[in-house]
This record gives sequence, structure tokens and C-alpha cells, in this order.
Amino acid sequence: MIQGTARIPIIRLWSLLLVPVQGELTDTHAEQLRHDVLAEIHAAGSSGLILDVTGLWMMDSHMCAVLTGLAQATALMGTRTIVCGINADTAITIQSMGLELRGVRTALTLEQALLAFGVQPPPDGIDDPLDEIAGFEHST
Amino acid sequence: MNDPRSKALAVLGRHLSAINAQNVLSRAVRDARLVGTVLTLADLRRMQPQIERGLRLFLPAATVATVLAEFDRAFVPAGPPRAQVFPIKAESDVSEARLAARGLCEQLGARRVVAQKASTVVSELARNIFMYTASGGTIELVPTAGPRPKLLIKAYDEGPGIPNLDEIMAGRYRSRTGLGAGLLGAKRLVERFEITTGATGTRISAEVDL
Repeated sequence: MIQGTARIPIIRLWSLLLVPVQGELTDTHAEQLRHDVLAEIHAAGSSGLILDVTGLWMMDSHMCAVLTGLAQATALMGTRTIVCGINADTAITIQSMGLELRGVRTALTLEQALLAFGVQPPPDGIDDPLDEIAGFEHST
Repeated sequence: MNDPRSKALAVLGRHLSAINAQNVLSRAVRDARLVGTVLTLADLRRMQPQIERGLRLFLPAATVATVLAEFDRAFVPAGPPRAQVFPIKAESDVSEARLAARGLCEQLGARRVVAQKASTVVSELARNIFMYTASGGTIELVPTAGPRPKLLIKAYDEGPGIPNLDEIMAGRYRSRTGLGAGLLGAKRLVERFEITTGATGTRISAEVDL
């Protein structure tokens, strides 16, 4: 279990922000996260926010409210949010409860969320520039 | 001297001083939040994670594994899981209660999606206690083993009561804080749901077929 001192990382991906939401998110964490994300969007001028919830084993109404709240706040700054990584059990539970993630776009996976923001997948068979730097040779 | 408690102390006493053995055991009982004072064999098996945590304070990892193996041999048959009581006062109590609900469901052989529904119900009820009562309250988890296993979830508090219960349960009420959505959602997740609320507090009883 993630302890109370853990901080949720905010990762810059080009003009996007990626937040892997995970562990037991306390109110303090949620408040901190909201503050950090909004500050980061302001500082970096991010065009999109991806909330990846793959690491959450359950989402109750409170968690839904936290995520929609965050998405609505970023929308006020002109930034779109996509939530990705909701697993089947969680989707069934949320749907049975009649909860909704109002005003939040969702995507199945992180890849699809990135595609939705216009990020292109790398072409196959690309040479890894890091290989050349390290002096590795490709055998053909 | 053949009761489970003495037996447990005997196993622990092979590796720890008597006082530390006592300490590890009583702490594990407290952390496992077991109801009542008489320890059963099944309790001791179920308390393994708590005992392991205690042992780690005193012993190197290899010895911890040895002690746990000895424990396994000493207390073989696991009985049906028993009721657990969780005082809800802080936010961490909410997460502890829902994790315990998931654990109980898994012990009773519930499918993952059912375990998740039950834990979500516990999370909703516990969070309502945490958010809307000043004095806190209690969550009780009562498992029923057998061919048709069930989990009974009871929530009670002595808070101010829920003034607009009818509206909430009819789905006509949308709060900004989430009380309505959580309570109605919890009801939709279970097979049986009873609630009484008034100025002296709220009592909820919900049953999930696992």
C-alpha cells in the first residue's frame, strides 16, 4: 500500500501532462495533485492532461468526483483531460452505481489517449539514436 | 496450556523473548481488528500478515519465514472467516475497511468483480461516516461461508442523520459533495439494503451475494 507521504508524479510528455493516479489517494493527496497539476499547466502551457488510472484497484463515487473535479478545473484553463486505464471490473461497478464522469473523455489505454491528443506512434524498425551514441553496432 | 493463544506464544517464544512474543501477538490481534477476546485457530491463521509485520521488527527475513512456516504447521485448518469491526474516524480507516472487505470476499471465493462491488459499497458507507459525522462511526463486516457465501455490511453512526434521505434514494438529489451519488450507488450494488436515519444517527445494513 502506498503510504501517506507518497506524491503522485506529474510527467511532461511534449505539450501534454501524464499523471499515473495510483495507490490509496487521500484527500490530502488529491488536493496536492490538483494544485500541482494546475500549477504545471500554467507554467508549461500544456495542451492536454492524461489521467491514467490503471494503478487504481477501485473507483468509488469520491474518486470519480476527484477526477471530474480535476478535469473541470483544467477545462477552465483551456486544457482537455482524458482519463484512461479504467479496467472492466471498475467500469461495471461505476455503471451499476449510476455514476458518471461528467465532462470527462475516456480512452481504453494510454496509447489511445495519446493518439486522441494527436501523438503519432513511432514507425517500425526505427534506428535507436541512443544505440549510436553508445557505439552499439547492428548486425544485419 | 493447549489453547490457541498459548500455542501461538510457544511458537513465537522459540525465536523471541517472552515479552516480545507477547508484544507481537497482542499487536497483531489489535491490527487485525478481531472482535472478542478469545482467539481461535482460524484467527491465528488469518492474522498472519499482522504477525509477519510484527516479526519483521525483531527478526531477519529468513527467520521470519521460518517462524511463519512453523505457524502454518501449528494451525492448519482454517475455519470460515469471521466478523470484523472497524471504527471509522480518519480517512485511513476508510481505506482499511474496504481493503478488509476485499480480503474477506477473496477468502470466500468471490469473483473479482463481486469483490470490487462489495469493497466499493464499504468505501461509500465508510466515507459517508468519515465526512458527515463529527464523532465517527463503525463498519462491521459479517461474512457467511457455505455454498452461497454472503457478505453483510453494517454501518452505524451517531451523527446528525440524513435529512433528505427520500430524495436521495429516489435519485432526485445531486449533492456537490457526493453523499447522494454514493449512497444510492451503494444501494444499487447490493442485493439487500436497509437504512434507518434520524436525529440520533444512521444505521445501514447491506448484503452482497458473493
